[in-house]
Amino acid sequence: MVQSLLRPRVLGLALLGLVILGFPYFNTMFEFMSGWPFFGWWVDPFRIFQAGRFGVWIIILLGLNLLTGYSGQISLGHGAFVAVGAYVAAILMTQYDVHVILAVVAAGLFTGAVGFLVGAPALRLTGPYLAIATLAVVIALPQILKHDLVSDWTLASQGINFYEQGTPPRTPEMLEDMVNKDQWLYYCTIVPALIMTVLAWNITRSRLGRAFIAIRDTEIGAQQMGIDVALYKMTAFGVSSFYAGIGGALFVFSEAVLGPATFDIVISLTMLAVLVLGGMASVLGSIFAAAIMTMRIEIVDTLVKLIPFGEELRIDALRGAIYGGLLIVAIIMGPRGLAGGIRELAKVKPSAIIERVRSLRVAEVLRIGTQRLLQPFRRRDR
Amino acid sequence: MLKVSEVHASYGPVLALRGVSLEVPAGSIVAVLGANGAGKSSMLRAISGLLRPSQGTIEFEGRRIDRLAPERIVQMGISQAPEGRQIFTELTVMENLRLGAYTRNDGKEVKQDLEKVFSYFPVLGERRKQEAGTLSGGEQQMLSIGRALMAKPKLLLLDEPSLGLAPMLVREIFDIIKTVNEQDGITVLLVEQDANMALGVARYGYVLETGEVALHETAENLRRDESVRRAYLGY
Amino acid sequence: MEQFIQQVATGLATGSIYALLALAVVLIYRSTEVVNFAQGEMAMLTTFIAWTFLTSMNYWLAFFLAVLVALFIGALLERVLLRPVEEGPVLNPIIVTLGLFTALNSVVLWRYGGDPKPFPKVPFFEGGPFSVGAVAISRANIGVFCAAVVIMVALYLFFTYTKVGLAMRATALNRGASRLVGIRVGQMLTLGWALSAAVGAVAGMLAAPIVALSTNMMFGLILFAFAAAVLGGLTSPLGAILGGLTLGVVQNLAATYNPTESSVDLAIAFLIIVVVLVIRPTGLLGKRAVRRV
Repeated sequence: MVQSLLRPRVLGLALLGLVILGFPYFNTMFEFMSGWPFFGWWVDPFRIFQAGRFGVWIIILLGLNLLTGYSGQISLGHGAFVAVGAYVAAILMTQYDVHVILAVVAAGLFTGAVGFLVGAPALRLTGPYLAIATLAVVIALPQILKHDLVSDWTLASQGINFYEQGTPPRTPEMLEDMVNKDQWLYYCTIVPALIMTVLAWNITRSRLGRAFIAIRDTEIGAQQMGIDVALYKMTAFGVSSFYAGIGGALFVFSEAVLGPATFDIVISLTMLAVLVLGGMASVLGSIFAAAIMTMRIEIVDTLVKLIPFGEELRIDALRGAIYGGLLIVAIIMGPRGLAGGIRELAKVKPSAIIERVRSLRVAEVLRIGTQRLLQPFRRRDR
Repeated sequence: MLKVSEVHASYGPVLALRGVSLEVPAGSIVAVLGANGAGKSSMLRAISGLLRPSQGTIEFEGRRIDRLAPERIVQMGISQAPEGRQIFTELTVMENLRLGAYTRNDGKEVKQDLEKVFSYFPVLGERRKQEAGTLSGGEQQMLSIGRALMAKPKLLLLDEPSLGLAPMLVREIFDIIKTVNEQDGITVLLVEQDANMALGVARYGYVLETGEVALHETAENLRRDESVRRAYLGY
Repeated sequence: MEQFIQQVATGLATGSIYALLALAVVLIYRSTEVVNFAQGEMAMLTTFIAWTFLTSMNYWLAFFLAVLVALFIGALLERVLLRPVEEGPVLNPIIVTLGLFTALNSVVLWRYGGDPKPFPKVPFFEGGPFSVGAVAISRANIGVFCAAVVIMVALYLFFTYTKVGLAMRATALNRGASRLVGIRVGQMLTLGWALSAAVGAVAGMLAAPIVALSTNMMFGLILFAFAAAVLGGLTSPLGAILGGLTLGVVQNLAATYNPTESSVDLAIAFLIIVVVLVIRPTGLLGKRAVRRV
């Protein structure tokens, strides 16, 4: 019994669990490390807030991955679903005083239902047509949100804020001594993130997941196999928007304000970009993508420091160009992203690598390396 | 005129040609027979530069062409009427034919060749302003061959010209093939499933099976060959 | 009644801008089956470049140079970014254009900042409004419409009567056969993108005086352009033009006679897109594409 508990996998998971649970306390537990070069970063209290955001992005991007990565339905409008979830939760909490957990779940279910219904017209659309339609959604949504018919709830351009009530969720009285506001916020987002990740992992390994992949790879073939493509496509949209809704609702916690432009076309495209970078059709990929998304400003700032004259050149203002550029390069080189690269790496045996490296000379390595790098750009006229 | 030597070619992981060698003497008609999937079309595509051989060489009039771009090969004098006609359906008959002469610069001669094509295929002349997609199957085949002829080729590659056509039309087309060869001196490499007709006009024949040359003989001998008769000629 | 005609006239003017943008999108889609989501941003970029030119030269020279630059940029983008992904899954080129969208937007923002810049109208057409009876039509609107018509006629002549134009049409129809005829397909694709970028540039320069030159000027416009292209049929240039003009007029009339307080034009464009795509995906004039199994 003890034997099996000590297996590396179990130990690894246990360690991971401890890190996740204990993270908000690192800055107090390890305060002495705050000056240390590498560890100091982890111990900064701001990380707790960031980690909470990380959890939210995991949920949102898992949803997008299920739709685009696994089911192959390219959706540029994911941001719109997140916005819907965010608005529903915010409205329920500010105007109807609904309890936080209820609001989040309601937001998720509502958005999921909307997504499911959206899947119906989307049934007839493929590839570029679907992309156009979803692009239309996300561009038109801010205007819809500001429109008279719903502005009683959405408060139009003004947006919704939590200044009066104070941002939910509030630490329950019992625990107020042990857990401060930031730490509580962290738990409130990480726990759903964990649950949703496990759920997503299960989905991808289930019949539903396999049906998604079948639809992505060959829609007509899937139909021949007896898969009710219509139903599963709608389900893909439904599940994906459920995730988006929950994510959006949780997002609202950490932001004090929510407006019609919060989830616009730019952020929708950024989400797609980081997902491709992190790795499509992979739960790990979504997690990587979420990490990139959370840290994107810091990553750009680091780049500014690394590139000579970075600050004078105002590289930070070019962050859109960096995401776009990375996206383009990533898709040209091979669309499996970071997660794919790691999987490839994991397949290779260390001894084989060492052997190979030892037998090559520097010049050859350089030549092969540049050849592979430039391969996609070579003239291909056939 | 054309020499294909030990050509191997594949579509990704699928090997289509495994060491095919054939020769087309200038001025002759050579037929290539074989079942579906034997590699006949792949061979023509390789000659036209659409499929790059992984091994082997293709020489035309003594020059290597297997690594040349398709447009260069057309300029050198090889043009193809591909399988399934592949005409430009939304363009007119006239535009299709003009495109056949795309690589040419000699405007006056192009006009003359246009008239020649119309003399071979009068029905094309009648329908010259019609959209190519509205033509019947036989007419489209004529258009495809006409278009290939407009390139003023020295070597004409024909991929299954009889496919899907009524016997009388097939006879018409093969008559034109013979005329073009005898009167205009155009060498013809003909890929066909209709072995009867093909061997009727050809001087030499090759039989391809799963990407390799199984037989090559004069057309006379092929017609008499037992195995060929049973497999491809139906008697 | 006069107001109606006036609104129609204005609608035709904005509609011609939509038509040009839609035409650019259709141009690329016909020849490469790629929907260029970055079309608007490319137009926006070249318009900003024109703005820079305007600080040191007269309007027409700047206009002409900007179009030249657009041709170059379009060709460059196709050759470098789109060529590697043209084979392979259909999704990839789309993602590349999306990346381009983000990148171009960011680059322009970085270089020019977020404040809207003024952009002059087409010089010929300055001056007071043209009066036909009781209807006053602004000269600028006529100018936009005329410019668009000139471009469309030029393109029509190019595609119908020149050898290259014919070759491009052939490439769009059947690449394999085009190669067999000796057409350099790669060059045709590059040319397609170059022309498309040029048309977009003109659209941008015509739109800038109306909507003010800024980095988000194209978001709404490109949505209408897509709606127009979808409505007319992604493969039909004529459809794109008619779709654009129709949408322009409809949008204007809807805005004038809109019973509700807030604007609904984007929402309407969105609805049109969805309805057309669901009911008749090939649009009004597009050809039905057979799905190969």
